Parts: sequence; C-alpha cells; structure tokens
Amino acid sequence: MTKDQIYEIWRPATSPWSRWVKPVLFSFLREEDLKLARRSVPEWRVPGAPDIAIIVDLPGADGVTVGVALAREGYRPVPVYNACPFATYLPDTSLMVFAAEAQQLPGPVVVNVLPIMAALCETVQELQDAKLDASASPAFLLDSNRRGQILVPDPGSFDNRSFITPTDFPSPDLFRQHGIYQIVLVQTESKIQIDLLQVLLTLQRGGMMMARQAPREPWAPTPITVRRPPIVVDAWEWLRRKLGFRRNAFGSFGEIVPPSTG
Amino acid sequence: MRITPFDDKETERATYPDVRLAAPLGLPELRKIEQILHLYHSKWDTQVRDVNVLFEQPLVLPLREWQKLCNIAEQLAAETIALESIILGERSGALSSLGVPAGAREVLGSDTQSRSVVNVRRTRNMRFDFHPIKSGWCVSEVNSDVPGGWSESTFFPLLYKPYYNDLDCPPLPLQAWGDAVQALAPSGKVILMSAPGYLEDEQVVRTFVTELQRRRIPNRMIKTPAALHWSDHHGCTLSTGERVSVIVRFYQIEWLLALPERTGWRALLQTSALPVINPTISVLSESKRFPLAFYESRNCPTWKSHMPECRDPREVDQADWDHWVLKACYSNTGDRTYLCGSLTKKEKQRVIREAQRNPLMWIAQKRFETRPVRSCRGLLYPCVGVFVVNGRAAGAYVRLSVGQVTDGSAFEAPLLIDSRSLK
Repeated sequence: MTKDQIYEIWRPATSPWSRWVKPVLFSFLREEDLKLARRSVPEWRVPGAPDIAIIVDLPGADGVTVGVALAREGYRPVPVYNACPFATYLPDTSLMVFAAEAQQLPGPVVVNVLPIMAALCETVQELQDAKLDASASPAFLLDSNRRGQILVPDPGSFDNRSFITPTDFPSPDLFRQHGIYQIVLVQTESKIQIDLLQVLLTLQRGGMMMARQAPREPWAPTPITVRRPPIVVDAWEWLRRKLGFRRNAFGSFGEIVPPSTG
Repeated sequence: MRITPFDDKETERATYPDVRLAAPLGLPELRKIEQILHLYHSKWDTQVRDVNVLFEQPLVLPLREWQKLCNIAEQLAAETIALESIILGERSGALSSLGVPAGAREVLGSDTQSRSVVNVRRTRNMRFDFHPIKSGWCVSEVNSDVPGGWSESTFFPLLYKPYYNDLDCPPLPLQAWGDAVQALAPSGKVILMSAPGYLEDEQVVRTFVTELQRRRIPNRMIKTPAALHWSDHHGCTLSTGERVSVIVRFYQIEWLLALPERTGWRALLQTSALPVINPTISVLSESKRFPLAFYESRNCPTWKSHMPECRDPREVDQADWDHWVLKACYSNTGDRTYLCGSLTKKEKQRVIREAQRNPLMWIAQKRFETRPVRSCRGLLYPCVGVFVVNGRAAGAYVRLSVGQVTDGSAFEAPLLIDSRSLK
C-alpha cells in the first residue's frame, strides 16, 4: 500500500468529516513504514447512534486502536494528531530518518509519536474492511500525551508538545447540520485536559450535550456538564500556550528547544 | 522623520489594478491538489474550523498588469539594495534606529562586512507584499531575510494550471532561485544550512536541494556553522576537505547570534570570500522600520510612492491611532501585527503602551483600503507577495482575506496569468 492509499483510507472523499484529519503524521510515512504487520484490534461493542460524535483522548497508539474498534461499529475515525516526529534527512540523500534511528540529532523527543504512525499503518486494512458509510458519525482521535509530561524541556530536545483548540473541530452548527447533538468523550482519566475542556465548553455553549465513557467498558455514557475552570487555571493555560508550546510555521507542533540566552 | 508620500484617499482618479478570479475548481480536483500538498509539500494547515483555506479560484492578472507589478517589485528591490549600502555606511546609529539586534549590529559594523556588500548584490531573494488599492498597487512590506512561500508559489500554479488551459503560470520562484545559484558557477559544493529541528525550514531547504539535484549541482545540508572551516588559503571547506563555493543560509540571524562563539557563526556572517544567499545585510530591510530610512533618503521614489505612510510609534497622535497598524520590527508571520481600530479599547491601550515603551522595536503604518475581488464565496481582499530573485521578479504567493488584514485564516490561491490580450 502506498502513502497516498493509506491517507485516502483514513481521509476518504466520501466522508464529510475527512476535512478535520490532520495530515502531519501521514506526510512523514516512508516506504519502510508501509510494510508493517497487521495489528490486532480488540473488540468493543458500541451501539451505532447517528446523533452522537465521539472524541477519543487516549495515550499514543491506544487512541488509534480504539478508533478502529469504533469503525467496526460504524463510526468514522478522524485522526487529529498534530505533532511532528523528530525527523531529519541523511547527508547527500533524500532519506528521512527519525530521532530513534539517527545519532546526529542533538536531543530527546518530548512526545513520541512514532507508535501512532505505526498504528495508523498497521490498522489501515482493518479500517478499509469496515466499509464505512458516508453518513458514519465521526470519532475524533487525540493523543492524551500531547501536552507532554514535563513543563520545561531541556535545551536541545525536540519539543513537540501540542494542544488542540476549537478551530481543530467542526463548529456546533455543522454538527447540528449533520444531525449530531451529543459529544461522548472516551478517556481513562477522570480529569479532562484543559485544552480539550475548552473545546468541549465551546461545543456545549453551542448547544451540544456532553457525556463521558470509559474505553472498552460496556457502553453506558454518563451525561456530564462541562464547567469552566477557575480563572487562575485559565490564565495559566493562556500563559503556557504563549510561552510553553512551539507551534511551527506550518501550524503543526515541534521545534528544537533553543539554548538559554541567560 | 515624518513624510506623507502616499495617501490613497487623495487620489482623484481611480486606477484600480485589473485583478480577477478564475472559475472555481470542482471539489474532487481541489481535493486531489490538497492531498499532494499535504503529503509531498508540507502544506498541512489547509483546514481551519469549518473552512478549507485552499481556495478553489486562482487569482488572475492580465499579462500587462503582471508586468506592471513585476516592474514595481524590481524597482523596489533595486532601491532596497542601494539604501542598505547607504545605511551600512552610516554605521551603528542608523542600525540602532532600525531595531537591528545588537549582535547583528556588531557584525555589520565590521570592515569585512562592508566589503562584502558588493558581493551580495548578485545573491538576493526578496518577497514584496502588494495589495490592489484605488490608486494602483500598494506595498505593505518586504520579506528579505529568509523569505518563505517558495513551495506554495511554485507548486500551487503548477498544480492548478492543468485545469485552466487559457491561463499561464507566472515564472516559478524555485526555478529562478536555481538559475541564480547555477549562475554563480559553483566549482565546489553548495551548502544549505537550516536550524536543527525546525522542520518547516528543513522542508524548504529540501525543496532547494531537489532543485539543485535536478541541475546536478553538488550540495550538502548542514545544521550548524561549526561544520564550516575557514582559512585564508583555502577559503571555506567542510571537515572532509571539500571546497564550499556557495552558502544558502536558511537560518534566522537571531538564532545564529544565540549560538556559542565557538560554532564560528561570526565567520559565516562576516565573510566576503564567497556568496551567501540571504547575506547578513538583509537583516536591515527585513526590519519593519526600514521605511523610516527611505523617508530620510533622497532616493527610493518607488518605495515612497507605493508604501503607506509609516511613523515611529512616538510620532502618532493619540487620537489618531484607529487609522494606524502597529507592527513589531521583526515579526515573521504577521503574528504581531495589530490593526488598532479593530482592537478592543483595553487591547489597543496595551499594544500602544508596549510600542511606545520600546519604540525601536515597532513601526506604525497608516491603514489603507484594499480593493476586494468578487469570488464564489463573496468579496475577498487579495495580497500578492511577489518574489524578486537577484533583481528579477519571479512568481508570487497569493493570499485572499475576508477582511482588510491578511492573517492566518486567509485563503491561499495560485497566481495565473492571462496572456491572451497580448498574443
């Protein structure tokens, strides 16, 4: 399968939700990445509901496998991974290598997205076999590790921590135009990450109902009301986005942490 | 320092540029183009909320209008280079007033750098941002140090052209860039340097590498100036002993200045021994305060007649701010450009206060009214970024905004040329 074919399966022309697929990780796929084995995806019985959209916020490749399990049940997985892997080109060649393979790269990567890339390739056949209908409701896939575990990465490391904003998702009006009135958040943690919270608040303000569901558990979403965080938390998040994340010129995330000027 | 060379409202006779949009592409065609851009040209930001910013209608200029725009851009480039030399002769006072960083001022103040000015005349790339207004074309700024948009302005026209038989591609910037490097007749390697981890810069450099490989010009990518060795006898070489004949710096000067001295960045920025594409002197016109320098000059007629009035933030009347745009001196992506009349009272006060506290880091530019074009999605305001490579206009990067300000949510489109009237 070629890179183009993989991308077309994850982003089919027929689905109205394909436009929100982030192309970043697909553009980094290399020939050798396309020859991986087929990954087994555990079953998860989820009733189809045309008025529901799902947001899956799980770590690394787990989000992809849950997304493909949802595809078996009739939902269209929409990868919203927006962080670059740490990649470079070998001298005098057009060969791209990743941090794990190249000694010449100066530092570690803050968020490892290579397992997500592998999962996107290894589950693509299963996704194709699901033969999803154009009207399938969307399941947006996020990496819950996207914000990283550390606050200040070391100089020289590749800081590809990322966050999501309401502009990464369809508007409440568009959801309603497609007959969707409820968002079900699938995550393991009880606490909702602050960037996702702001997305959900925007959707809730726009009239969408909210519910929460644990992954791979019997389907019984619990209705929730998303509440605005305390103003201090909001202010801290604003500051972090301004100073702590490295959005590159292509709208994706990932840049080297520069040496301290102090 | 105050001059009023440009006031569109006072123009008695309207001479609007001849600008239009072609018929829209179908969704399947647009999607095909989008996929190629996503996967092979690092163009990832085409969807913002419910809107796809890749526009279905190319911007079309009749050949005569395009030639007119090219002439203006070429004159602006020539005036820019001439004025840079004058500023450099005036040394540190003039450099400070442009907001040039201290480290760059020190490098530019050296005799070596002054000698290299002659050399850089042959190796400059700039992008001038034009807007159609009542009196013709207005230029809002020049991007002269590490200008971006090479990939969009080269591949957008090529990808749209097959769907428009009656229209032509403008010159392609990447082609012009390749011609310029080839003309330097390198007998050694062309070295392309970008910062490690800045993948978007590396992708641009990869685009350059592909062009060099197509022309069979030996090249090498490096990530640090420490990979270069300088000597009086052998000039510049790599650690392998291979001779370097041209350096392409796609590495922001501010970042180079932050590296340890032992990396040898100073030798790179001061060299007059070989051509450096994006020479150190380009940091002068990259400053958004550059217009203040041409107001003081007796030359620069094209700049004076095509750029809206600019002032030091301290020279704007307090009651008049709604008619001004504030720009940070070295804002690269328009992220620190503020249309004062569109800000809330609180935001406006904050930005003006910041600009007046550090006036050398800011410039105030008089607002102008871009003439919109009719599109299938309503009225849009074009910005045409014309590349000038070594003095010759070479293609353009087009953005179409729903409002007067060109920002991150603007649509992007190719420029195509209608040559029929002259055939």
